Amino acid sequence: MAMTPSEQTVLDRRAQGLARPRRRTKSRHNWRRVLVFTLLGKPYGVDLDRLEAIIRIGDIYPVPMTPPHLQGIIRRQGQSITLVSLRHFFDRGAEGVYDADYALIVGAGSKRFAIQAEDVDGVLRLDPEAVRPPPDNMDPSQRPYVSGVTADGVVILSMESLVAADHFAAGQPGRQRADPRTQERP
Amino acid sequence: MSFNDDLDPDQLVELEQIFRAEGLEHVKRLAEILFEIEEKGADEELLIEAFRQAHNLKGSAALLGFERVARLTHRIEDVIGVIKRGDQTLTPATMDLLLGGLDVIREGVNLSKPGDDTLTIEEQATLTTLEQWLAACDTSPTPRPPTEPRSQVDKVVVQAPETSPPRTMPEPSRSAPEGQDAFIRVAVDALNSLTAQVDDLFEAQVQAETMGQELSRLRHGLDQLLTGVQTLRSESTSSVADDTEDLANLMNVRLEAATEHFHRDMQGLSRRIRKAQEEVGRMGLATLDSLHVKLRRQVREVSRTTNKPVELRFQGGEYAVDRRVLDALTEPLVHLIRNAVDHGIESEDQRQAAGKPPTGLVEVRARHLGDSVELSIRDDGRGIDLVAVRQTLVEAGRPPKEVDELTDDQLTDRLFDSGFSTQRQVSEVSGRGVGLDVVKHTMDRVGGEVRLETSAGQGTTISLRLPLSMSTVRCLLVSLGNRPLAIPAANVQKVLILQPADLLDLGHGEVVEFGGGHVPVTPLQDLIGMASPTWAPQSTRTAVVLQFGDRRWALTVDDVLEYTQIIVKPLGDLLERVPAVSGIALLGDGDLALVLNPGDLVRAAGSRAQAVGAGSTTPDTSSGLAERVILVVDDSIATRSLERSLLESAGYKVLTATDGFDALDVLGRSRCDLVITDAQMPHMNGFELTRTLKSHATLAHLPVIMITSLGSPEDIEQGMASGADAYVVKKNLTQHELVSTINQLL
Repeated sequence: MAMTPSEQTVLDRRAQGLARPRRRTKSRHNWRRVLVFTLLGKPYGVDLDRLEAIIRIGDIYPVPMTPPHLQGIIRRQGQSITLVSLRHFFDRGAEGVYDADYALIVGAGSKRFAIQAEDVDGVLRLDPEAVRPPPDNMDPSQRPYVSGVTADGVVILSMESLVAADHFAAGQPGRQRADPRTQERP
Repeated sequence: MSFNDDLDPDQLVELEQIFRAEGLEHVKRLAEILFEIEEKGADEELLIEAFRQAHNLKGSAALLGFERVARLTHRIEDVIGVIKRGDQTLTPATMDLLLGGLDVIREGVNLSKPGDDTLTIEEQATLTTLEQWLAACDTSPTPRPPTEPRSQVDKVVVQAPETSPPRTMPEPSRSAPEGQDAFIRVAVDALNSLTAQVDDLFEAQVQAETMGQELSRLRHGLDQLLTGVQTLRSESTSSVADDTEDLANLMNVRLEAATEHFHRDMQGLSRRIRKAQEEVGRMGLATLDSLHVKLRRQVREVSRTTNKPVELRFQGGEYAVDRRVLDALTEPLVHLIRNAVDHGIESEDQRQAAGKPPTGLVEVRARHLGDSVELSIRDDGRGIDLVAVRQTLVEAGRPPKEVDELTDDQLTDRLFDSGFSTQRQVSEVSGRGVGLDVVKHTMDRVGGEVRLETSAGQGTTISLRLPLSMSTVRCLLVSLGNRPLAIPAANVQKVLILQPADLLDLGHGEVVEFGGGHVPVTPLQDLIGMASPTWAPQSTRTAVVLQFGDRRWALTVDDVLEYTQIIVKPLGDLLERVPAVSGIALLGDGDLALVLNPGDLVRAAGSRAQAVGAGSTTPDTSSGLAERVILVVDDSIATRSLERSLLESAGYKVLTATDGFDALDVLGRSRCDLVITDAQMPHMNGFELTRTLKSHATLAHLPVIMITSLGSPEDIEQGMASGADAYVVKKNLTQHELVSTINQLL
């Protein structure tokens, strides 16, 4: 049975009374996804789109005449991947041993390598606006390689900045390398 | 409308790939023909072929919608058409125009997309220049022919290549059926992938062979068991021995059959893998001829830029090497050619004053040398000024006295250092000092060698020794610091066992008499920074005599293991330039061996000897160490590996275990001199392990060092209370401290 005009009017008024403004939710489409890992007991992050795999380290094959942060080679699926200790890269004189059994295999441009980690803590989804630039009092040895810091203190590293660093790779032109010709015996 | 609209996406992608491959061949062939015309004059057949190449390229591009390529090629075709008709000649300026146009077309073939008709700035400029040339000839461009009929598409797919196959490729065993082509095109990526898979098969075969050896050992063990059981039976009336013997006999028979079967299968598999490797290897070969056009172009350009007439002679282009070697070689060769013309060849006036022909000569020659090809680049120029080289080294900070004492060979070695250049000005052509460094790096990467010889006023020859294959290499495996290392067998002249009386000291280090001369002797560990036990002066030493070019050097090692075939793989990103190491290889037992670079080793040994003679380094004279075995117990793989590395580089032999139970198992089977254990481990922790060891009848004497992240006074007290002889906190650990603690306890 069709409604009368007065009934329709009542319904319309009721609908207007119940209506609320549409809540605009922020799109998460451009949010940043970061894998958080532990290094020296502190949380660090790497963008997920740079991450290829996380593996437990098997054997490490040291390569002589390389800087201390290049720990050696690990094998995965028949390929050799260079294992990098960021602890030694940030502090060339770092001493001591830490249980760092995870390797995060990452890519930056044409380079592929693995970062040693003590633990892997999960993936964070971050609003890009919530990621802040590194503070002025950040450790200067790390600052050039930090793309941002979260409110919780996760230091997000830039793989491209690491690869571009003068002394990251072994023996490139103009970069420091151990000279075998004058190497003193240990 | 493009016929592309009727194809599905996969077909389109495939056709595009084919076009790009074909298009590059057309461009390359067209450049070759133009060079021939420039050299020999306008030959009608050559002009017809050049026109045809341009026409075919234009047609294919238009058909598939590569509009940019089609437009430019159309104008190239027009220019060639004008020359073919005799309306114009191929002047140097016109040659430049055409070659420049081909460069731009090559970019378009590689990068442009079907349907994209927006010219880049460079393409537009090139097109304009070509049209201006045509307008200046007062010749109307030929009308654009209609699109090729659709039935021509299949011919694009199966068209035979223009060039003859490389000499080393085998003839097909059966002739192709009538109507079918004898050759097909294979994408380089696909070939590389196939090569990698065959290489992996080879590695799997080597590992399987190791398994076969293990089977043989098991059989041997079972034989021994059987002998023991038979002895037991003869001494006892128990039926247990009979039953055991029957069972052992049965197992032995079955194991014997399985082992024989396995070895037979392995032989068959090895044969098939070897054949596959050879065939895939042959597919991956490319002739050196393919470098000719590029090098010719370089000589032409540099000759004009420097205003020096230069002739390029190219011999041995029919030799074929691994395509990957050739690809890697192109850039270094370009550097060498540019250097030869810019630095080596004198100006016309200077040459005439020196009594030389006015036209300089650059000769590129290839020849076979066993399992490699030697490519030499010789110029008849002024040679390298070694006085200037010495001066540059002094200016760079090397002590003058040390520089004065360098031999000519050692001086020319310095030319391969990064950034080294005696040129005061960086020219448009060269002088940045990057050429020879790039050459050396590339040769290291492909497993080749580079040598330089020069004679003042006569010229310079740079010789590149290229492996025919980047796949398997025969190597001598040696051990140093408990790690295997591989030395290319082609550079190993001899293995010597040196007695102390064999060694002489001539002031710059030890030498041994060998092969009619004195060969210097240096410990390999001194060159590559891998420590290993040193020998007492009265000990016998094993030395490998390396030959690199005409230089020889004996390097002492811990042990020589065996000759074997290996596949050399790159070290990995970030490790492209490690001195003295050119790659890594997987051995049959799963271990990795670093592959050493003989050239770097010989050069480093020479420099070190120089430094020793100058007194800047002190030869080691410490007394020898007996082999000490240390057991590292830790559940962390990374920590175990790190501690193992620290200890092995200090000269210890290292065994590992993952927890206390595993450690006891290892100690039950192997002799150890000291135990290093973590505190916190699953199943049996370090405290429990230490207590167990200290209360064990035969293991109580073992010193125990506890290395742990637990650093509180209570933890330390607990550690010492368990019986540990030393307690070290991980975060403070250094090699020096660890070795020092070990030395105190042993």
